[in-house]
Amino acid sequence: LFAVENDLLKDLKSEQWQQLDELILKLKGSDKEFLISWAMGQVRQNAPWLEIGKLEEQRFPLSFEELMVSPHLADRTVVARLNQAVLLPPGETVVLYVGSPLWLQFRWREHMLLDLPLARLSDTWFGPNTRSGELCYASETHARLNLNDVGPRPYKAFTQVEIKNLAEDMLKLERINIPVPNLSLFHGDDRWWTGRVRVTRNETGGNGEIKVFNTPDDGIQRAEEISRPRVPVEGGIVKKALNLLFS
Amino acid sequence: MFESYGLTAEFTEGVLLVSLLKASVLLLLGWFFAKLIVHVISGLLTDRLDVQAQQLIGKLLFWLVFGLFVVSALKELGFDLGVLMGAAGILTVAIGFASQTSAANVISGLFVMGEGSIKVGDVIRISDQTGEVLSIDWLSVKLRTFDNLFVRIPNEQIIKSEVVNLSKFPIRRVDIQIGIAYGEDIREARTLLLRVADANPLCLESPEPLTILKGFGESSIDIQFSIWALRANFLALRNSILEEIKQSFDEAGIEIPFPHRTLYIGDHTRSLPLSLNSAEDKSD
Repeated sequence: LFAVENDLLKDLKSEQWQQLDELILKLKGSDKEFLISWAMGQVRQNAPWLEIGKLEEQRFPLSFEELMVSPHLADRTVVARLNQAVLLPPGETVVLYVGSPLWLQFRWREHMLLDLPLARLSDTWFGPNTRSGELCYASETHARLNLNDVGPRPYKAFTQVEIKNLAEDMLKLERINIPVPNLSLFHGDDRWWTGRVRVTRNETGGNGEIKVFNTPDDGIQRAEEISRPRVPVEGGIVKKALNLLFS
Repeated sequence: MFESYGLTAEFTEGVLLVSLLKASVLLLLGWFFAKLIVHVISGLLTDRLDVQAQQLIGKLLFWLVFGLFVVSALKELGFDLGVLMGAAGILTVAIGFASQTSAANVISGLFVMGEGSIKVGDVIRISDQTGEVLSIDWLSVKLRTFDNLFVRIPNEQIIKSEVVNLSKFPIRRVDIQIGIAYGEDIREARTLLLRVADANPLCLESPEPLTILKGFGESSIDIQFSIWALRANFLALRNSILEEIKQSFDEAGIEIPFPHRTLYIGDHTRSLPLSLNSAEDKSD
Protein backbone atom coordinates (compact mmCIF):
# COMPACT_ATOMS: atom_id res chain seq x y z
CA LEU A 1 0.00 0.00 0.00
CA PHE A 2 2.72 2.45 0.96
CA ALA A 3 5.19 1.22 -1.66
CA VAL A 4 5.16 4.66 -3.18
CA GLU A 5 4.12 7.46 -0.85
CA ASN A 6 2.87 9.52 -3.75
CA ASP A 7 0.35 6.83 -4.65
CA LEU A 8 -0.98 6.89 -1.12
CA LEU A 9 -1.30 10.64 -1.21
CA LYS A 10 -3.04 10.42 -4.58
CA ASP A 11 -5.55 7.94 -3.10
CA LEU A 12 -6.11 10.14 -0.08
CA LYS A 13 -6.56 13.27 -2.16
CA SER A 14 -9.34 11.62 -4.14
CA GLU A 15 -11.76 13.07 -1.54
CA GLN A 16 -13.11 9.55 -0.90
CA TRP A 17 -13.06 7.76 2.44
CA GLN A 18 -10.00 5.50 2.63
CA GLN A 19 -9.54 2.54 4.96
CA LEU A 20 -6.04 1.92 6.33
CA ASP A 21 -6.24 -0.89 8.87
CA GLU A 22 -8.69 0.44 11.50
CA LEU A 23 -8.17 4.08 10.54
CA ILE A 24 -10.56 5.68 8.08
CA LEU A 25 -9.73 9.07 6.66
CA LYS A 26 -10.64 11.56 4.00
CA LEU A 27 -8.84 14.60 2.66
CA LYS A 28 -10.61 17.47 1.02
CA GLY A 29 -8.98 20.68 -0.10
CA SER A 30 -8.26 23.49 -2.48
CA ASP A 31 -5.26 25.70 -3.21
CA LYS A 32 -5.90 27.71 -0.04
CA GLU A 33 -7.05 25.22 2.57
CA PHE A 34 -7.66 21.56 3.30
CA LEU A 35 -9.63 19.47 5.73
CA ILE A 36 -8.54 16.11 7.17
CA SER A 37 -11.31 13.92 8.63
CA TRP A 38 -10.51 10.69 10.45
CA ALA A 39 -11.84 8.10 12.89
CA MET A 40 -11.35 4.51 13.98
CA GLY A 41 -13.98 2.50 12.16
CA GLN A 42 -14.92 1.13 8.77
CA VAL A 43 -15.85 2.56 5.41
CA ARG A 44 -19.24 1.24 4.31
CA GLN A 45 -20.80 2.46 1.06
CA ASN A 46 -18.31 5.30 0.92
CA ALA A 47 -19.38 6.60 4.33
CA PRO A 48 -17.84 6.26 7.77
CA TRP A 49 -19.34 3.63 10.05
CA LEU A 50 -18.23 3.94 13.66
CA GLU A 51 -18.96 1.46 16.41
CA ILE A 52 -17.26 3.52 19.07
CA GLY A 53 -15.46 6.83 19.14
CA LYS A 54 -16.25 9.84 17.04
CA LEU A 55 -15.28 11.45 13.80
CA GLU A 56 -12.55 14.05 14.15
CA GLU A 57 -11.76 16.85 11.75
CA GLN A 58 -8.98 19.37 11.42
CA ARG A 59 -8.92 22.29 9.01
CA PHE A 60 -5.67 23.88 7.83
CA PRO A 61 -5.43 27.22 5.98
CA LEU A 62 -2.56 25.88 3.83
CA SER A 63 -2.02 24.85 0.25
CA PHE A 64 -3.30 21.32 -0.40
CA GLU A 65 -0.62 20.74 -3.06
CA GLU A 66 2.23 20.88 -0.55
CA LEU A 67 0.74 18.34 1.86
CA MET A 68 2.95 15.29 2.34
CA VAL A 69 2.14 12.00 4.00
CA SER A 70 4.47 9.24 5.21
CA PRO A 71 4.28 6.06 7.28
CA HIS A 72 6.20 5.88 10.57
CA LEU A 73 6.69 3.64 13.55
CA ALA A 74 4.94 4.08 16.91
CA ASP A 75 5.73 7.03 19.16
CA ARG A 76 6.19 4.80 22.23
CA THR A 77 7.84 1.45 22.78
CA VAL A 78 5.77 -1.63 21.93
CA VAL A 79 5.40 -4.65 24.20
CA ALA A 80 4.82 -8.06 22.64
CA ARG A 81 3.93 -11.21 24.53
CA LEU A 82 5.32 -14.58 23.53
CA ASN A 83 2.77 -17.32 22.86
CA GLN A 84 4.45 -19.32 25.57
CA ALA A 85 7.27 -18.30 27.86
CA VAL A 86 10.73 -19.22 26.54
CA LEU A 87 13.66 -20.28 28.72
CA LEU A 88 17.03 -19.34 27.24
CA PRO A 89 19.94 -21.36 28.70
CA PRO A 90 23.30 -19.69 29.52
CA GLY A 91 25.48 -18.97 26.50
CA GLU A 92 22.61 -19.36 24.02
CA THR A 93 21.09 -16.92 21.54
CA VAL A 94 17.51 -16.61 20.32
CA VAL A 95 16.07 -14.55 17.45
CA LEU A 96 12.49 -13.31 17.77
CA TYR A 97 10.22 -11.50 15.30
CA VAL A 98 7.84 -8.97 16.72
CA GLY A 99 5.14 -7.01 14.88
CA SER A 100 4.36 -3.41 15.75
CA PRO A 101 1.75 -0.97 14.43
CA LEU A 102 2.27 1.76 11.84
CA TRP A 103 1.57 5.48 12.12
CA LEU A 104 0.72 7.99 9.42
CA GLN A 105 2.28 11.45 9.53
CA PHE A 106 0.90 14.44 7.66
CA ARG A 107 3.47 17.15 6.96
CA TRP A 108 3.34 20.52 5.35
CA ARG A 109 6.80 21.78 4.45
CA GLU A 110 8.84 21.23 7.66
CA HIS A 111 5.78 21.28 9.97
CA MET A 112 4.16 18.10 11.24
CA LEU A 113 0.39 18.53 11.17
CA LEU A 114 -0.96 15.20 12.36
CA ASP A 115 0.45 11.92 13.62
CA LEU A 116 -2.20 9.19 13.51
CA PRO A 117 -1.97 5.49 14.44
CA LEU A 118 -3.50 3.08 11.94
CA ALA A 119 -5.08 1.00 14.71
CA ARG A 120 -6.52 1.44 18.17
CA LEU A 121 -3.79 0.41 20.57
CA SER A 122 -4.05 -0.64 24.17
CA ASP A 123 -1.76 0.91 26.72
CA THR A 124 0.37 -1.26 28.94
CA TRP A 125 2.82 -0.69 31.77
CA PHE A 126 6.28 -2.18 31.58
CA GLY A 127 8.60 -2.09 34.54
CA PRO A 128 9.66 -3.83 37.73
CA ASN A 129 6.72 -2.40 39.75
CA THR A 130 3.81 0.06 39.62
CA ARG A 131 6.00 2.95 40.79
CA SER A 132 8.72 2.79 38.14
CA GLY A 133 8.55 1.72 34.55
CA GLU A 134 7.27 3.16 31.31
CA LEU A 135 4.01 3.44 29.44
CA CYS A 136 4.04 1.38 26.26
CA TYR A 137 1.67 0.08 23.61
CA ALA A 138 0.60 -3.54 23.80
CA SER A 139 1.20 -5.25 20.48
CA GLU A 140 -1.64 -7.35 19.17
CA THR A 141 0.80 -9.73 17.52
CA HIS A 142 2.77 -12.30 19.49
CA ALA A 143 6.51 -12.50 19.36
CA ARG A 144 7.44 -15.44 17.06
CA LEU A 145 10.55 -17.56 16.90
CA ASN A 146 10.16 -18.26 13.20
CA LEU A 147 9.53 -15.58 10.58
CA ASN A 148 7.44 -18.01 8.52
CA ASP A 149 4.95 -18.21 11.41
CA VAL A 150 4.22 -14.52 10.92
CA GLY A 151 1.62 -14.12 8.23
CA PRO A 152 1.67 -11.22 5.77
CA ARG A 153 0.41 -8.18 7.65
CA PRO A 154 0.00 -5.09 5.46
CA TYR A 155 -0.12 -2.71 8.41
CA LYS A 156 2.49 -4.17 10.73
CA ALA A 157 6.26 -3.65 10.76
CA PHE A 158 8.44 -6.52 11.91
CA THR A 159 11.46 -6.23 14.14
CA GLN A 160 14.18 -8.84 14.36
CA VAL A 161 15.32 -9.10 17.99
CA GLU A 162 18.42 -11.11 18.82
CA ILE A 163 18.89 -11.98 22.50
CA LYS A 164 22.19 -13.36 23.81
CA ASN A 165 22.27 -14.77 27.32
CA LEU A 166 25.86 -14.60 28.64
CA ALA A 167 24.77 -14.93 32.29
CA GLU A 168 25.15 -18.13 34.27
CA ASP A 169 21.42 -18.58 34.85
CA MET A 170 18.46 -19.20 32.58
CA LEU A 171 16.70 -16.19 31.05
CA LYS A 172 12.92 -16.47 31.10
CA LEU A 173 11.22 -14.51 28.33
CA GLU A 174 7.51 -13.80 28.55
CA ARG A 175 7.13 -10.26 27.28
CA ILE A 176 9.52 -8.13 25.31
CA ASN A 177 9.62 -4.35 25.00
CA ILE A 178 10.74 -3.16 21.55
CA PRO A 179 12.26 0.36 21.42
CA VAL A 180 10.55 1.22 18.11
CA PRO A 181 10.95 5.03 18.47
CA ASN A 182 14.71 4.36 18.09
CA LEU A 183 14.26 2.36 14.87
CA SER A 184 14.01 3.20 11.16
CA LEU A 185 11.18 1.87 9.00
CA PHE A 186 11.97 -0.09 5.83
CA HIS A 187 9.92 -1.68 3.07
CA GLY A 188 11.07 -4.74 1.17
CA ASP A 189 9.82 -8.20 0.13
CA ASP A 190 6.23 -6.83 0.34
CA ARG A 191 6.59 -6.30 4.07
CA TRP A 192 7.38 -3.53 6.50
CA TRP A 193 10.54 -3.94 8.54
CA THR A 194 12.18 -2.00 11.28
CA GLY A 195 15.85 -1.74 12.16
CA ARG A 196 17.23 -4.69 14.14
CA VAL A 197 17.71 -4.94 17.92
CA ARG A 198 20.43 -6.93 19.65
CA VAL A 199 20.28 -7.49 23.41
CA THR A 200 23.22 -8.98 25.27
CA ARG A 201 22.67 -10.00 28.89
CA ASN A 202 26.06 -9.91 30.57
CA GLU A 203 27.71 -12.36 32.97
CA THR A 204 26.16 -10.91 36.12
CA GLY A 205 22.66 -11.11 34.65
CA GLY A 206 21.56 -7.75 36.00
CA ASN A 207 22.99 -5.58 33.26
CA GLY A 208 23.65 -5.78 29.59
CA GLU A 209 23.74 -3.92 26.32
CA ILE A 210 20.86 -2.98 24.05
CA LYS A 211 22.01 -2.07 20.56
CA VAL A 212 19.94 -1.03 17.57
CA PHE A 213 21.08 -1.41 13.94
CA ASN A 214 19.17 0.83 11.60
CA THR A 215 19.91 -1.29 8.56
CA PRO A 216 17.54 -3.90 7.12
CA ASP A 217 18.16 -7.60 7.55
CA ASP A 218 20.56 -9.00 4.91
CA GLY A 219 17.93 -11.48 3.75
CA ILE A 220 15.45 -8.80 2.69
CA GLN A 221 15.51 -7.97 -1.01
CA ARG A 222 15.40 -4.37 -2.25
CA ALA A 223 14.72 -2.89 1.17
CA GLU A 224 14.13 0.85 1.08
CA GLU A 225 14.26 3.13 4.08
CA ILE A 226 10.89 4.88 4.41
CA SER A 227 11.35 6.87 7.61
CA ARG A 228 14.10 7.72 10.08
CA PRO A 229 13.86 6.96 13.85
CA ARG A 230 11.69 9.33 15.86
CA VAL A 231 14.31 9.34 18.61
CA PRO A 232 17.77 8.62 17.15
CA VAL A 233 20.27 7.02 19.52
CA GLU A 234 23.95 7.87 19.49
CA GLY A 235 26.12 4.93 18.46
CA GLY A 236 23.05 2.71 18.39
CA ILE A 237 23.30 2.04 22.14
CA VAL A 238 19.97 2.34 23.95
CA LYS A 239 20.47 3.50 27.51
CA LYS A 240 17.87 1.47 29.34
CA ALA A 241 17.85 -1.04 32.19
CA LEU A 242 17.34 -4.62 31.04
CA ASN A 243 14.33 -5.03 33.33
CA LEU A 244 12.67 -2.40 31.13
CA LEU A 245 13.24 -4.57 28.07
CA PHE A 246 11.97 -8.02 28.94
CA SER A 247 10.17 -9.85 31.70
CA MET B 1 26.75 81.66 69.72
CA PHE B 2 23.29 81.49 68.25
CA GLU B 3 24.83 81.72 64.82
CA SER B 4 27.16 78.82 65.56
CA TYR B 5 24.22 76.82 66.98
CA GLY B 6 22.29 77.53 63.81
CA LEU B 7 25.21 76.34 61.74
CA THR B 8 25.58 73.16 63.82
CA ALA B 9 21.85 72.39 63.53
CA GLU B 10 21.97 72.94 59.80
CA PHE B 11 25.07 70.75 59.57
CA THR B 12 23.42 67.99 61.63
CA GLU B 13 20.26 68.15 59.52
CA GLY B 14 22.42 68.00 56.41
CA VAL B 15 24.29 64.95 57.69
CA LEU B 16 20.98 63.27 58.61
CA LEU B 17 19.55 63.98 55.20
CA VAL B 18 22.64 62.52 53.51
CA SER B 19 22.43 59.44 55.76
CA LEU B 20 18.73 59.03 54.97
CA LEU B 21 19.47 59.37 51.29
CA LYS B 22 22.27 56.81 51.51
CA ALA B 23 20.08 54.40 53.45
CA SER B 24 17.24 54.79 50.92
CA VAL B 25 19.64 54.19 48.04
CA LEU B 26 21.00 51.11 49.84
CA LEU B 27 17.50 49.72 50.39
CA LEU B 28 16.53 50.40 46.78
CA LEU B 29 19.76 48.89 45.49
CA GLY B 30 19.35 45.94 47.82
CA TRP B 31 15.82 45.28 46.53
CA PHE B 32 16.91 45.30 42.88
CA PHE B 33 20.13 43.41 43.57
CA ALA B 34 18.28 40.68 45.50
CA LYS B 35 15.70 40.40 42.68
CA LEU B 36 18.50 40.20 40.10
CA ILE B 37 20.34 37.47 42.01
CA VAL B 38 17.13 35.43 42.41
CA HIS B 39 16.40 35.84 38.70
CA VAL B 40 19.91 34.69 37.67
CA ILE B 41 20.03 31.76 40.10
CA SER B 42 16.48 30.64 39.15
CA GLY B 43 17.52 30.67 35.50
CA LEU B 44 20.50 28.45 36.31
CA LEU B 45 18.39 26.04 38.38
CA THR B 46 15.44 25.74 35.98
CA ASP B 47 16.51 22.38 34.53
CA ARG B 48 18.07 21.03 37.71
CA LEU B 49 15.41 21.51 40.38
CA ASP B 50 11.63 21.31 40.54
CA VAL B 51 9.44 24.41 40.82
CA GLN B 52 8.98 24.03 44.57
CA ALA B 53 12.71 23.90 45.36
CA GLN B 54 13.33 26.83 43.01
CA GLN B 55 10.67 28.89 44.81
CA LEU B 56 12.16 28.02 48.22
CA ILE B 57 15.74 28.83 47.21
CA GLY B 58 14.54 32.03 45.52
CA LYS B 59 12.76 33.25 48.66
CA LEU B 60 15.69 32.39 50.95
CA LEU B 61 18.18 34.11 48.66
CA PHE B 62 16.00 37.19 48.32
CA TRP B 63 15.60 37.73 52.07
CA LEU B 64 19.26 36.93 52.76
CA VAL B 65 20.60 39.46 50.24
CA PHE B 66 17.95 42.08 51.01
CA GLY B 67 18.51 41.55 54.75
CA LEU B 68 22.21 42.37 54.38
CA PHE B 69 21.32 45.63 52.64
CA VAL B 70 18.75 46.46 55.35
CA VAL B 71 21.45 45.97 58.03
CA SER B 72 23.84 48.22 56.04
CA ALA B 73 21.11 50.87 55.71
CA LEU B 74 20.45 50.80 59.48
CA LYS B 75 24.17 51.14 60.16
CA GLU B 76 24.28 54.11 57.79
CA LEU B 77 21.52 55.76 59.81
CA GLY B 78 23.68 55.44 62.90
CA PHE B 79 21.94 52.59 64.66
CA ASP B 80 24.09 50.51 66.98
CA LEU B 81 23.64 46.96 65.65
CA GLY B 82 24.54 45.39 69.03
CA VAL B 83 21.68 47.22 70.72
CA LEU B 84 19.42 46.41 67.79
CA MET B 85 20.22 42.69 68.05
CA GLY B 86 19.42 42.77 71.78
CA ALA B 87 16.15 44.55 71.10
CA ALA B 88 15.43 42.10 68.28
CA GLY B 89 15.94 39.20 70.73
CA ILE B 90 13.40 40.63 73.17
CA LEU B 91 11.07 41.46 70.30
CA THR B 92 11.41 37.93 68.94
CA VAL B 93 10.31 36.45 72.29
CA ALA B 94 7.35 38.85 72.41
CA ILE B 95 6.39 38.13 68.80
CA GLY B 96 6.92 34.42 69.39
CA PHE B 97 4.30 34.41 72.15
CA ALA B 98 1.96 36.53 70.08
CA SER B 99 2.27 34.50 66.89
CA GLN B 100 2.49 30.89 67.97
CA THR B 101 0.16 29.76 65.17
CA SER B 102 2.20 31.49 62.47
CA ALA B 103 5.44 30.12 63.91
CA ALA B 104 3.97 26.61 63.97
CA ASN B 105 2.94 27.03 60.33
CA VAL B 106 6.39 28.26 59.31
CA ILE B 107 8.10 25.30 61.00
CA SER B 108 5.52 22.89 59.54
CA GLY B 109 6.15 24.52 56.17
CA LEU B 110 9.84 23.67 56.43
CA PHE B 111 8.92 20.03 57.08
CA VAL B 112 6.40 19.97 54.21
CA MET B 113 9.04 21.36 51.84
CA GLY B 114 11.80 19.12 53.19
CA GLU B 115 9.76 15.91 53.22
CA GLY B 116 8.96 16.15 49.51
CA SER B 117 5.71 14.18 49.75
CA ILE B 118 3.90 16.91 47.85
CA LYS B 119 5.18 19.32 45.23
CA VAL B 120 3.81 22.09 43.05
CA GLY B 121 1.55 20.62 40.34
CA ASP B 122 0.58 17.50 42.34
CA VAL B 123 -3.08 16.66 42.87
CA ILE B 124 -3.73 16.04 46.56
CA ARG B 125 -6.72 15.19 48.76
CA ILE B 126 -6.83 16.56 52.30
CA SER B 127 -9.95 16.40 54.48
CA ASP B 128 -12.75 17.05 51.99
CA GLN B 129 -10.67 19.12 49.56
CA THR B 130 -9.12 17.76 46.39
CA GLY B 131 -7.10 19.95 44.07
CA GLU B 132 -3.89 20.85 42.31
CA VAL B 133 -1.08 22.34 44.41
CA LEU B 134 -0.40 25.89 43.19
CA SER B 135 2.32 26.78 45.70
CA ILE B 136 3.88 25.67 48.98
CA ASP B 137 4.60 28.79 51.00
CA TRP B 138 5.94 29.53 54.47
CA LEU B 139 2.51 29.62 56.08
CA SER B 140 0.22 27.62 53.83
CA VAL B 141 -0.27 25.40 50.81
CA LYS B 142 -2.47 26.85 48.08
CA LEU B 143 -4.75 24.55 46.11
CA ARG B 144 -6.92 24.97 43.04
CA THR B 145 -9.88 22.63 43.32
CA PHE B 146 -11.45 21.01 40.25
CA ASP B 147 -14.43 23.38 40.48
CA ASN B 148 -11.87 26.21 40.22
CA LEU B 149 -11.87 27.43 43.80
CA PHE B 150 -8.79 28.75 45.56
CA VAL B 151 -8.19 26.94 48.85
CA ARG B 152 -5.56 27.90 51.43
CA ILE B 153 -4.53 25.11 53.79
CA PRO B 154 -2.28 26.01 56.77
CA ASN B 155 0.97 24.03 56.78
CA GLU B 156 0.27 22.81 60.32
CA GLN B 157 -2.87 21.09 59.07
CA ILE B 158 -0.90 19.43 56.27
CA ILE B 159 1.54 18.00 58.82
CA LYS B 160 -1.19 16.86 61.22
CA SER B 161 -3.68 15.44 58.70
CA GLU B 162 -3.68 12.53 56.31
CA VAL B 163 -2.76 13.80 52.85
CA VAL B 164 -3.40 11.62 49.80
CA ASN B 165 -1.20 12.45 46.82
CA LEU B 166 -3.16 11.34 43.75
CA SER B 167 -0.36 12.04 41.31
CA LYS B 168 2.68 10.53 43.03
CA PHE B 169 2.79 7.40 40.89
CA PRO B 170 2.31 7.20 37.11
CA ILE B 171 -0.49 4.60 37.08
CA ARG B 172 -3.61 4.10 39.23
CA ARG B 173 -6.01 1.26 39.91
CA VAL B 174 -9.72 1.67 39.23
CA ASP B 175 -11.82 -0.51 41.57
CA ILE B 176 -15.36 -1.17 40.39
CA GLN B 177 -17.89 -2.92 42.63
CA ILE B 178 -20.38 -5.03 40.68
CA GLY B 179 -23.24 -7.20 41.89
CA ILE B 180 -24.73 -10.01 39.81
CA ALA B 181 -27.94 -11.91 40.55
CA TYR B 182 -27.68 -15.23 42.41
CA GLY B 183 -28.95 -17.10 39.37
CA GLU B 184 -26.10 -15.95 37.12
CA ASP B 185 -22.94 -17.84 36.19
CA ILE B 186 -19.98 -16.23 38.01
CA ARG B 187 -17.43 -17.63 35.54
CA GLU B 188 -19.31 -16.15 32.58
CA ALA B 189 -19.50 -12.78 34.32
CA ARG B 190 -15.75 -12.87 35.00
CA THR B 191 -14.98 -13.77 31.38
CA LEU B 192 -17.15 -10.90 30.17
CA LEU B 193 -15.46 -8.42 32.50
CA LEU B 194 -12.00 -9.43 31.29
CA ARG B 195 -13.17 -9.14 27.68
CA VAL B 196 -14.50 -5.63 28.34
CA ALA B 197 -11.14 -4.65 29.86
CA ASP B 198 -9.28 -6.13 26.90
CA ALA B 199 -11.36 -4.13 24.43
CA ASN B 200 -10.90 -0.80 26.20
CA PRO B 201 -7.69 0.87 24.95
CA LEU B 202 -7.35 2.97 28.10
CA CYS B 203 -7.21 -0.11 30.31
CA LEU B 204 -3.62 -1.24 30.79
CA GLU B 205 -2.85 -4.75 29.65
CA SER B 206 -0.28 -4.98 32.44
CA PRO B 207 -0.73 -4.95 35.45
CA GLU B 208 -3.42 -7.43 34.49
CA PRO B 209 -7.11 -6.80 35.26
CA LEU B 210 -8.28 -8.63 38.35
CA THR B 211 -11.66 -9.93 39.53
CA ILE B 212 -12.17 -10.61 43.25
CA LEU B 213 -15.24 -12.40 44.55
CA LYS B 214 -16.08 -10.26 47.55
CA GLY B 215 -18.87 -12.38 49.01
CA PHE B 216 -22.58 -13.08 49.03
CA GLY B 217 -24.44 -9.83 49.53
CA GLU B 218 -28.06 -9.27 50.55
CA SER B 219 -29.28 -9.11 46.99
CA SER B 220 -26.32 -10.04 44.83
CA ILE B 221 -23.02 -11.86 44.48
CA ASP B 222 -20.51 -9.06 44.90
CA ILE B 223 -17.48 -8.86 42.62
CA GLN B 224 -14.67 -6.33 42.66
CA PHE B 225 -13.26 -5.61 39.21
CA SER B 226 -9.85 -3.96 39.43
CA ILE B 227 -8.19 -2.47 36.36
CA TRP B 228 -5.23 -0.16 35.86
CA ALA B 229 -5.00 3.10 33.97
CA LEU B 230 -2.52 5.82 33.32
CA ARG B 231 -3.07 8.55 35.95
CA ALA B 232 -4.30 11.01 33.32
CA ASN B 233 -6.83 8.46 31.99
CA PHE B 234 -8.25 7.45 35.38
CA LEU B 235 -11.59 9.24 35.09
CA ALA B 236 -12.01 8.51 31.37
CA LEU B 237 -11.49 4.79 32.01
CA ARG B 238 -13.86 4.69 34.99
CA ASN B 239 -16.60 6.37 32.97
CA SER B 240 -16.18 4.33 29.82
CA ILE B 241 -15.72 0.95 31.50
CA LEU B 242 -18.94 1.27 33.56
CA GLU B 243 -20.92 1.94 30.40
CA GLU B 244 -19.25 -0.97 28.60
CA ILE B 245 -19.85 -3.39 31.50
CA LYS B 246 -23.56 -2.49 31.61
CA GLN B 247 -23.84 -2.91 27.83
CA SER B 248 -21.94 -6.20 27.88
CA PHE B 249 -24.03 -7.64 30.75
CA ASP B 250 -27.26 -6.53 29.06
CA GLU B 251 -26.25 -8.23 25.81
CA ALA B 252 -25.32 -11.45 27.65
CA GLY B 253 -28.52 -11.32 29.76
CA ILE B 254 -26.64 -11.10 33.06
CA GLU B 255 -28.79 -9.37 35.64
CA ILE B 256 -27.35 -6.62 37.85
CA PRO B 257 -29.91 -6.79 40.68
CA PHE B 258 -31.23 -3.93 42.75
CA PRO B 259 -31.78 -4.52 46.49
CA HIS B 260 -34.98 -6.48 47.20
CA ARG B 261 -36.69 -8.06 50.24
CA THR B 262 -38.63 -11.31 50.56
CA LEU B 263 -41.35 -11.09 53.18
CA TYR B 264 -41.89 -14.26 55.16
CA ILE B 265 -45.05 -14.43 57.22
CA GLY B 266 -44.42 -17.61 59.18
CA ASP B 267 -46.14 -20.30 57.14
CA HIS B 268 -44.31 -22.14 54.33
CA THR B 269 -47.30 -22.55 52.03
CA ARG B 270 -49.61 -19.70 52.72
CA SER B 271 -49.21 -16.57 50.66
CA LEU B 272 -49.42 -13.08 52.06
CA PRO B 273 -53.13 -12.13 52.34
CA LEU B 274 -53.83 -8.99 50.38
CA SER B 275 -57.16 -7.25 49.90
CA LEU B 276 -58.26 -4.25 47.88
CA ASN B 277 -60.11 -1.60 49.81
CA SER B 278 -62.46 0.84 48.11
CA ALA B 279 -62.44 4.59 48.70
CA GLU B 280 -65.55 4.24 50.90
CA ASP B 281 -63.74 1.80 53.18
CA LYS B 282 -60.92 4.34 53.52
CA SER B 283 -63.34 7.05 54.65
CA ASP B 284 -64.36 4.81 57.58
